[in-house]
Formats: sequence, structure tokens, C-alpha cells
Amino acid sequence: MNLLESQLVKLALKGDQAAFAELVDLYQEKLYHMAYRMLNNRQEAEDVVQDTFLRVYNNLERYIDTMKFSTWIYRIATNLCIDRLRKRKPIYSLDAESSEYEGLDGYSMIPSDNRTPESELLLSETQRIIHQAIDSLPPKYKTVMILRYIHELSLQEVGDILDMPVTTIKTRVHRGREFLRKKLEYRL
Amino acid sequence: MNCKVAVEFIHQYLDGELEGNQHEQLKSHLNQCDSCMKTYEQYERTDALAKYTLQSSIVSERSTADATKLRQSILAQLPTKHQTKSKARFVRWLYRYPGLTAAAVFIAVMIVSLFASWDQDSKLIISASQDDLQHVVIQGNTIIVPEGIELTGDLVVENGIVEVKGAVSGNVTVIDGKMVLASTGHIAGQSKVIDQALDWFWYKVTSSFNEVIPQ
Ligand SMILES: [Zn+2]
Repeated sequence: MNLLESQLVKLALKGDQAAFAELVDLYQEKLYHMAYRMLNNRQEAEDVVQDTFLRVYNNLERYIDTMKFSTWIYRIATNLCIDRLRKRKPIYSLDAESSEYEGLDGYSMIPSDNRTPESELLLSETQRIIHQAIDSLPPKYKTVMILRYIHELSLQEVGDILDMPVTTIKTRVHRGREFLRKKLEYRL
Repeated sequence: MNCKVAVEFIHQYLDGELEGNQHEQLKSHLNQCDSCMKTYEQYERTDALAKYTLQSSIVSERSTADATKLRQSILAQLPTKHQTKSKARFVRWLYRYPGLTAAAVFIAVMIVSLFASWDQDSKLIISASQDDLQHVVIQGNTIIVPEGIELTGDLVVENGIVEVKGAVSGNVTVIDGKMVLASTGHIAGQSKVIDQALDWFWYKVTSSFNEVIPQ
């Protein structure tokens, strides 16, 4: 249990705005990264983060100390992302070269100074495949993979966030890994 | 071990969930089975590439200005509740320097509060070591040393009430506040309650000197 965070929650509950701002500072960007990976859209990711903190603020009384604060806030944020994904038209086709998604441009950000053009191309192509593969996953797999790979959360933590048994998370991580391996196979 | 079990073990290994002797079993299978060895290498690279891809690409796209703007919109949207004076900055301040020794924290707090105390007279200030601070409970302006807890260093509280239900090995000093020693509580060092401004001043000067000059 993180004592700093639970102290901040207690202070925020009493109306201490600066304490709440501390919690924002601790989680805002982590949540943004997660939401951006889930939704592949900056505006939507920011909306989710904003909405998450509003919900946290309005539900501070309901926060139970036995759960880690991080688990609670990630749970709220992932649920908001999953809701948004479900409302979208399913576009989980594997080769969709979707131009409406900004997220696929991430690979262009690799520092170019110490890479040869060939290796850069290879790496960016590999990254593009990974982005596409993860985007093509149904939300329940996508969430698990993103929480695991972005924040390197333990299986137990991912299970707590998604309110699912660890065995389920384990199966999804294994299947997700195999799915990615198949997509990357000839590059590995 | 058959290959099906081996693949399951490979996943568990990459998840950080493989037990000690299973580790040995997997190793000996991989040394004999080229196909599983290949699977292992591929999974390992898959994980590494996925982590690299998902972690690295966002950071570079995101500017601090974006983050600041988002922070502002988050805070601006909050409905106004009854507001209290902030204690958060001080709590964070103490947490931010976990490497400091108890003594160093003590001096720094003394100096800060010596300057701050004359114009901000109702601010709750707690000074304790990092470890001890994690064990105290703050409720409003009451600082509780819970039953069963033992603080190893000194505890100084300004503008607050100290309730000692557990044990304190060092001194407990309360400045402009109250001390409540429960029947379960025990203070091994000195306990002092200081109310007068002049006492307070001298207390600060002498205790700061005591701390600064090693004895
Ligand atoms: Zn094998």
C-alpha cells in the first residue's frame, strides 16, 4: 500500500485541492499513455484522462483503502477506454491501413543519428506491425497487452485492475504473445 | 518434459512466474529441443520489441506543453468543494527526499519552519524521519502514532495535536498544540509541549544548533 497516495486521497477528500493536484501529477501521463495506446487518438485519450480524474474526484468517498490507489484509477481509466472501443465500429481487420489513426506514426520517432537507414527501416516496419497487431486485437486482449507492455504491471495487478482472475489474465498474455509472435515471425 | 509443457513454462518464465526447480527443468529441455529453444527466443524477442514499441513511441511525441494543458483542464473541471488549507506540499516535500537521514530532514524542517512560522501560524507541520512518517496517521490536525507502531526517531509537531498510542523511542515535541498520551502509548525520550513564542524561538535555535554540530 502506497502511504503517500492514501494520505493524498484523505487530504483531497477533505477538500485539499493541492493534494488532488498531486494525484493528477502522479498519474496523468501514465494514464494518457495507456489511453493513447488503447484508442490511438490523442483527443480521445485526453478526454479519457480528464474523465477519469473527474470520476476519481467525485468518488473519493468510495475509495477503499484496501485496494491500491493505482489499481483503482487504472480500473476507471481502462473501463472508459473499453467503453469507447466498444462504441466504435469493429475494425479489427488485420491489414486495415487506417489513415484515420494517428497512432501508427509512432515508429517515425526513433532517433536516426546512430542507425543505418536499413536498420531504421526494418525497425520502423517491425514497430508498425506491432502497432497494427495490437490494434487488431479485441478490447479484452488489447487492454491486457497494453497494461503489461507499457507499464510492466504484474499479472496480479492487471487482474486486480480488470477485476478478473489471474488465470484469465495469464491465458490472455500467453495468447497475445503467441499472436504477436506469429505476426512478427519472419522478423524474429 | 514434453514440448507442450515446455512452451507453457516459457510463457511463465517470461511472465516472471516460474518457480525455482521448474527453471532447471525448462533449461534442460531447451538444451535438448531445438524447436522449443527457437520458440523461447522468438517469444523473448517479441516481448522486447513490443515493450520497446509501446513504451518509446509516445514519450517523444508528447510535449510538456501538452501535459501542462491537460493538467489545467483536469483541475479546472473539478466541481468546487469545501476547501481546506493545503498540507499536501509538505507531505510531498518530505517524501521527495527519501535519501535524507532523519537528522537532515529534521534540520531542514527546522530552518524552513523558523522562517515560515511567524506569518503562517496555523499551518500543521510535522517533522520526523522518512520511515517514521510513513507510520503516523494524519487526521485533520491530529497526528496519531497508532498502537503497535514504534517510531525510532524524534517527532516534532507544530499547530497540531499529537496522540501517542504506540511507542516513540526519541523525543516528542509539540509546539502550539496538545499532546495526548494514551494508556498504550510510551515515549522513551523527552516529551515537551511549547506554547510561548519566546520558548519556541529558543527551542528552535538550540535544537537546530544541536543538530548541526555533531556531538
Ligand atoms: Zn520441445
